Amino acid sequence: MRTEALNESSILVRDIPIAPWKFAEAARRLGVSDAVASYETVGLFDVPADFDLEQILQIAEASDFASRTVRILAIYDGPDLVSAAELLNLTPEALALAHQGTSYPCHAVGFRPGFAYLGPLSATISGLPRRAQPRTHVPPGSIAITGRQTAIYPIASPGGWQLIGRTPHDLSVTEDLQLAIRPGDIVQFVACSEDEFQSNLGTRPQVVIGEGQ
Amino acid sequence: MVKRPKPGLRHLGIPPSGPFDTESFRILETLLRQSNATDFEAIELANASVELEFPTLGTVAIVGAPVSVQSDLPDAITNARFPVTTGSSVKIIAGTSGLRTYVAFAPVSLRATRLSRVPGSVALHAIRVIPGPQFSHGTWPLEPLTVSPIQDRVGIRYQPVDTWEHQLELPSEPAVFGAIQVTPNGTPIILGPDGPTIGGYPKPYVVCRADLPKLAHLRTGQTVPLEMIQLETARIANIESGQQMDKFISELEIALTGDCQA
Repeated sequence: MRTEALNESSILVRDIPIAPWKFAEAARRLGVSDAVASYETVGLFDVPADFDLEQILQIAEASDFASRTVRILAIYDGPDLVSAAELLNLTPEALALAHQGTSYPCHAVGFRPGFAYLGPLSATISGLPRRAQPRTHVPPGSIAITGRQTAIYPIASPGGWQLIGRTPHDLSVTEDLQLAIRPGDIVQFVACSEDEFQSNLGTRPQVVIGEGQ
Repeated sequence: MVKRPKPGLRHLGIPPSGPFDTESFRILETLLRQSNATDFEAIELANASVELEFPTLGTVAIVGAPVSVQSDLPDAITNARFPVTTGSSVKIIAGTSGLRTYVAFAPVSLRATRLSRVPGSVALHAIRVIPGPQFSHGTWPLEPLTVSPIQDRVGIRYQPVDTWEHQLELPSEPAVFGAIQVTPNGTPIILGPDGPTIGGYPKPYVVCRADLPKLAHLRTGQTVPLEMIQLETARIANIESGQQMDKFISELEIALTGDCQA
């Protein structure tokens, strides 16, 4: 493991031998108030520069991390579905099927509150660029893809990813600070009818395996 | 409305937020004797004019970038606190230097007091930066940055810097208030207090903590040079500016002794 300065009081940890989200969780258990995991790195905020990283690693390796599988209902009718499928040389239906055909681990939560970075996408639907002109308003519940990543916008925000569908679920951070999708969760997308969409509007996604099932 | 920064939620994607200019906010809290109130809130005005009406008796304080204040109340001025009566109003008109001004009301009766001096958040000769995580991933000549019209509490966007164009594709990494992210066409974005907790653009520089309050006062079109300092120098600068602020606050508290608390 090696570190770089994020600023005078925060460090970025690289080359972590375990999943970054487990390392960040262990750091929080050790009392670090802000530990943020991303794909390959962990940010430790407001800690001494010589913070004992080996101790975090030991705690992480000795801990049991609950694994959950979360199911997301989806309707594939996003404003970019047709153009995205064209770019991929697929029909919109094939793009939607491929998106549901893989389970996606959550690597990180960030950018906006509750925004979960999921992936990788299967090769057939990977490689789309971000939109040249990012949208200024992406509605909450929008299902999006770019590169090898997929995500759901939990709250209205600007965004540059390609919008391929929508979910009825509420994925925002709750008042008691619960995430609908946590780093380490496995996420499955399941197509639903408009009726199912309406009857699940505003619900939290179902945990099909693990705590909260 | 802004409150004190709230760390500990970054892993949920929630930045600590808080006032852009933490120094002005702290002076405001002290003036209104709210330093121990955890939920103290202030209005953060960014080059905006407002008229405020007060439903009850209390005290108002205004601190930060210069503004003009119009009111029937005799003591209503900026960089001061003054009593307000039920139903009275105060008009705050944006000034031309600095950017953010903080206004708050407390339902307590306190005598009018003006600040004898205001710490220099507004004056700015250069932004001091330290090398960021991607400093060694390219060449990033230290050129002056010009503030574009696109800026808010999420980030301050600058005019593109030709020599900062790049084609780096990196996995997203945790990001911090003050990090300078650079888009492929060389546009620098300094992340603000509401900035993303994770960002994918390279970050060649990070504004040193002591200079963060100054970022709150950059105006569109303003050009500021960058000055690179080493991490250890930045640490010392941060400690020193903290000590200066502590000294200012304790002197202010002494000047305010004798306040009758309602």
